[in-house]
Amino acid sequence: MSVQDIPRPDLPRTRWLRRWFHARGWKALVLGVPSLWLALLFLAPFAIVLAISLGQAAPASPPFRFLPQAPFTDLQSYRRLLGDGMVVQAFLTSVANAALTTLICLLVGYPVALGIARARPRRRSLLLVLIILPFWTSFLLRVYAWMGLLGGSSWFNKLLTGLFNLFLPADRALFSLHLMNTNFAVVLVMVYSYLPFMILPLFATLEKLDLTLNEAAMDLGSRPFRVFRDVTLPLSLPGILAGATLVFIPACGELVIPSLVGNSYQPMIGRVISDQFSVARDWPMAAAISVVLLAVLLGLMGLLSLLNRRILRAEGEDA
Amino acid sequence: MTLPMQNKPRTAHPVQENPEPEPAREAFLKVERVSKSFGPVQAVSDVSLDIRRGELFSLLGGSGCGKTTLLRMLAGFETPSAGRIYIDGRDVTDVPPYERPVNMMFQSYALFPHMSVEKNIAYGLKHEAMSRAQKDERVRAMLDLVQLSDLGRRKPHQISGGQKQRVALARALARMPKVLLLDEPLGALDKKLREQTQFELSNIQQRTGITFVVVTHDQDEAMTLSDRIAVMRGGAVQQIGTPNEVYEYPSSGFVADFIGSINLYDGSVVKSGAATRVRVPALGREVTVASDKALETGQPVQVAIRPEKISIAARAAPGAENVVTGRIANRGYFGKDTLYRVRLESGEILLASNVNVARALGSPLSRESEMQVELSFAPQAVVVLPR
Repeated sequence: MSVQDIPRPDLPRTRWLRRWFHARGWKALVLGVPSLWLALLFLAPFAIVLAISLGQAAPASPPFRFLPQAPFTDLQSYRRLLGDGMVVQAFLTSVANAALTTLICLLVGYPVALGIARARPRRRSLLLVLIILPFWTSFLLRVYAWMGLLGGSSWFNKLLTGLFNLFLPADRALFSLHLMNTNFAVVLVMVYSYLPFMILPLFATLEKLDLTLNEAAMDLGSRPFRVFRDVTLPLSLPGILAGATLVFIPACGELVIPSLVGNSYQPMIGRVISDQFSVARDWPMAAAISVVLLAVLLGLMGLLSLLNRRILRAEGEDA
Repeated sequence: MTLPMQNKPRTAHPVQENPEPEPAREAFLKVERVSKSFGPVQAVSDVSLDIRRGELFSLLGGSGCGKTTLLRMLAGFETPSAGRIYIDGRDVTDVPPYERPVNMMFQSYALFPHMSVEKNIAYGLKHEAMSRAQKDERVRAMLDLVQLSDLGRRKPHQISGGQKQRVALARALARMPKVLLLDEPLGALDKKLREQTQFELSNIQQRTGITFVVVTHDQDEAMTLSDRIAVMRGGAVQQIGTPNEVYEYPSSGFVADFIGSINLYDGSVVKSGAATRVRVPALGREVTVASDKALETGQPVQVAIRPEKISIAARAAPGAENVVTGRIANRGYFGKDTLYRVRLESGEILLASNVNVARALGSPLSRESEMQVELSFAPQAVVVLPR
């Protein structure tokens, strides 16, 4: 007779608890911690932002107030937002810049990820370290470095100018290229900054692909490029979607890069929000823009995950 | 029974009809002194094979014997370090896989997960000069051939392992290759399904007339499927022959031991000639053998005797030759037969099996432990191998 079999009046309840914990407890714990985290650090602050967006700017501290007769029903900031050409323009600029960044990251990142995934194991880890290496330097520092490179007096700019002048008649030769404070610079630096976020999920997907499938396609008469098109590319779509999500979403709301290398007449939405908060002190307006941005991103993400689920189901990996 | 697609014109590699009564003797797939090394590792060394048209040929061996490497060289995934490969008279040694008249059925099946069963089968036809209707008809014929006509629209993850195996076979056959390579075709199936599929496979092979080269580690599979078997070890071919030849006339102790179970003992020739006698210390006596090989007196040899060729009884029949005595150490009851491990007076173990002809719940032979028995075998049952 073991200890557990000794009857005790209080045992059934503890045993029930223990049994519950063994069956469900770990799952609840594992899911509960991130849920709590999200609730405290995302949902609660977002509720505050949502509330502020329904208020009115006021010379007070904090600089907003709610209508006393009907609080939280004031949609004037949303109306102003939609009527403000500059804000709408900034939304479009952000989405366009982010989309372009995502596309370039994909075109540059895919061959890199494929190369790493097909490299020998030892070289593979070295290459992965090289991809992650830039993260060891401050992000801000790297953007400042780009400011130096893009500036008219840098060797980088001079090199590009020299190359550019080769295609121009001698009398039209430029002294330097105007790169700083352009949309081109914003996209360039965003591609540079976000490339690893495209490469890593792509690598993770490509690495798992069964190379026997490539052999099978080749055996059935497909040349290497055809094999890529028919097998590797469709099977790596989940990785493409993951990478695109990881690049597109932060790129949409990017503040630092457009502030440092962009210009003020083509602002991205992050900069508009920041200016509304800190310069114009119009918190309800800033909050409203944030809410709309989030809604736009959530909509796009929902679309992407729907697409992803369909692809996964098509490949027979549905959970 | 003929296949509908056999009559189709304009196939990539049309099934050739036998023009002459006896053309099968010529080598259709010729492997000429092929070697392959990966760095310092010699995976295949100096292998030569002549595989005939329409033959079902097996490469049999344990893991690491080079059989898969050899198959991959036939498919074009590996290039031989030395030697040439000819298919139907054409040197294909340096031809890339996508241009070889060869298709492969992969061990893992390698079905494209994002394509339906039909699309998988049709994949190889993309590059063929066929009309859409012809392609559809070919896919249909293939689905019929492997009896999966209803599952064409399913995805690979929606069908069972046995069905996947058939799809893989249909996909590899769809292009009507000159040679079909099969890498452990039945390896992933359970026993019952495997036995059933074995016969189906050789049935399909006969109906299509395509030359099959099968890689397997399973000697039973090789025996039932093949017209001929090449037994491989350490990258080299040990013996090539029909299942019957390889089983009854093994060329070496390795082959004898690898194919089926066998009793293998060292001995030396005492008397050569008509009634050759070999002294076998393990059996504690001189054994009369019927050997067709020229043996010299005093020559060291190995004798090999299959368990089913040894009769086991409490008392050997009068006039029985080569009688040895021992005690039953253990028994393995397999239903159709019983395998006895008998400890001889020398301490060696001798395997003898007995077909359970009578339906009975145990004879004295199968009950009493440590029972004393007499074993005997005919001179013709003994294989004498050089040592």
